[in-house]
Amino acid sequence: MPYTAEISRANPTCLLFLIDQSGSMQDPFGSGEPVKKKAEAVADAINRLLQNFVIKCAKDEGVRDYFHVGVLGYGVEVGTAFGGALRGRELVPISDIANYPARIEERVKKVDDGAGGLISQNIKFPVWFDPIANGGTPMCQVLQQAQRIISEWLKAHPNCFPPLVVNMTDGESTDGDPSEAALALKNLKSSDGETLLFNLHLSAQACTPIEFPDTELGLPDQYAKQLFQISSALPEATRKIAQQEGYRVSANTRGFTFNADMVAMIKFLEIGTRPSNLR
Amino acid sequence: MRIEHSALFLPKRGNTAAEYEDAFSYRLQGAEVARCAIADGATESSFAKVWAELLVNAYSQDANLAPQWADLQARWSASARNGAQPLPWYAEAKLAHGGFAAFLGLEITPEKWQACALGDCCLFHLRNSELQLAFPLQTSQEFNQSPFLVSSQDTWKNLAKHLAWLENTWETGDEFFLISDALACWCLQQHEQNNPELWQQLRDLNPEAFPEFIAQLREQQQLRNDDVTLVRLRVHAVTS
Repeated sequence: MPYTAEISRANPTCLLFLIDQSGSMQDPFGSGEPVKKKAEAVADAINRLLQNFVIKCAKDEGVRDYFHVGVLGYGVEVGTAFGGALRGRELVPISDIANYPARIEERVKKVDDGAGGLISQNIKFPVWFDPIANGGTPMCQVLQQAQRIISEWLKAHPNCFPPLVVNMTDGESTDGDPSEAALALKNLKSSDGETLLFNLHLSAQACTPIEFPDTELGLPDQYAKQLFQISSALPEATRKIAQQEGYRVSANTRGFTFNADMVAMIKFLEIGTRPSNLR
Repeated sequence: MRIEHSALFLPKRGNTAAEYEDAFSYRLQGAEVARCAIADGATESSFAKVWAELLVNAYSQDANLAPQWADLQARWSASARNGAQPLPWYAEAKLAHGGFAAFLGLEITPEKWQACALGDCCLFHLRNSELQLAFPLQTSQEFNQSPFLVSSQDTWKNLAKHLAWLENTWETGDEFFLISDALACWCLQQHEQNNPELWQQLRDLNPEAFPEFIAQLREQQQLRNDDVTLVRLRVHAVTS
């Protein structure tokens, strides 16, 4: 059965994030208060995802390299988006992500005090990316660049769990229809299956968040529909996990969210026993 | 009462012996109470091995974990911190999540046996090579990658709601196998397929044959790649 290769340090897989940094990302996101820009929502989403992936891989001795991670930004330019010590690198082991955030902020988090109340707790909040919004949305170009990177990864890791590419965007491609470039990317495969392309769509529309739908009916605009169409269907093994996590899934369920984060996706990638009461 | 006992274990393929995160204990208290426990630390939690060891050792001292709970939590936390301050951001976050382990304990007295479990480590009770029961999971379909486990951050009151308990009597010559999840799942599959050799196969294993036996099952993809622990007990009534 495809998509069942073990993700291990000896056989890691790769995660590639594509971040829309175009001018339209300055527009407001959803209808939340306070008003947030789409670029801020994307920066939050990628920082949260990276943070959660690192924590997933943290063990007693440090961070285990189950994943190699890359981030491409697309706006005025298309290219690697890491700053600081990771600047210019395409795919880096997750332990390097852990050790080289751009900065670590101190934030206050409200936590349950165990007696029905909330207490404030200081937590460290690593930040890799700040919001950027400038230029067009060259989605075709970034998908092509992703194709080259994934292709090289697969040559070196032919038996890995298939790579996962997560595109975070407001969906308005300015260099043409991304369908063909998306298909070429998804056609790249390891012995365990084809590359997965998930899309996280952020919109100014005030609409209930949609997570992992199985139909484009009900999606609010043409961009959402297009991103749904180019998103991979969840593999069978992944669907089972999604189901355990409480999602309603079918064979048509796609790796797509609308105005919602994708942190659940982290649970879809198994590295071993994950307690159901680990939240 | 006399009990023969032996344990076999192996880390996940690709991991070192130091990365084995199961734990087991056996203790005969006087001649009247024997306690055996196994625990399986969860991959996706930190210091899971420490937690698994604390649980089995505490149980071997006293099957009632309730009064020991606060001390166990404090010891896990101290051991995970190991005096290092400050920890990297991810270690701090992981520590806040807690340690997680599946747990199975078995207490045997001259009158009866009593087991308690949370998670997917399984007990198999055999009489004359016939399976009397499997506990707490009874079929291979019940295994999945996300069981509810014993968390170092949870209150005993909450965990106690999830603990499964079972007791029964034993007869001389009865066998008990305590097995961590991957091998337990395989055993139930074999039992469901009426493999008549199953229990004898397990009985025949020794420390030399065990790694080869497990490697073969993994190679044939019959066994999920995971830490493996098998503890075997045979109970005899001793008449004076």
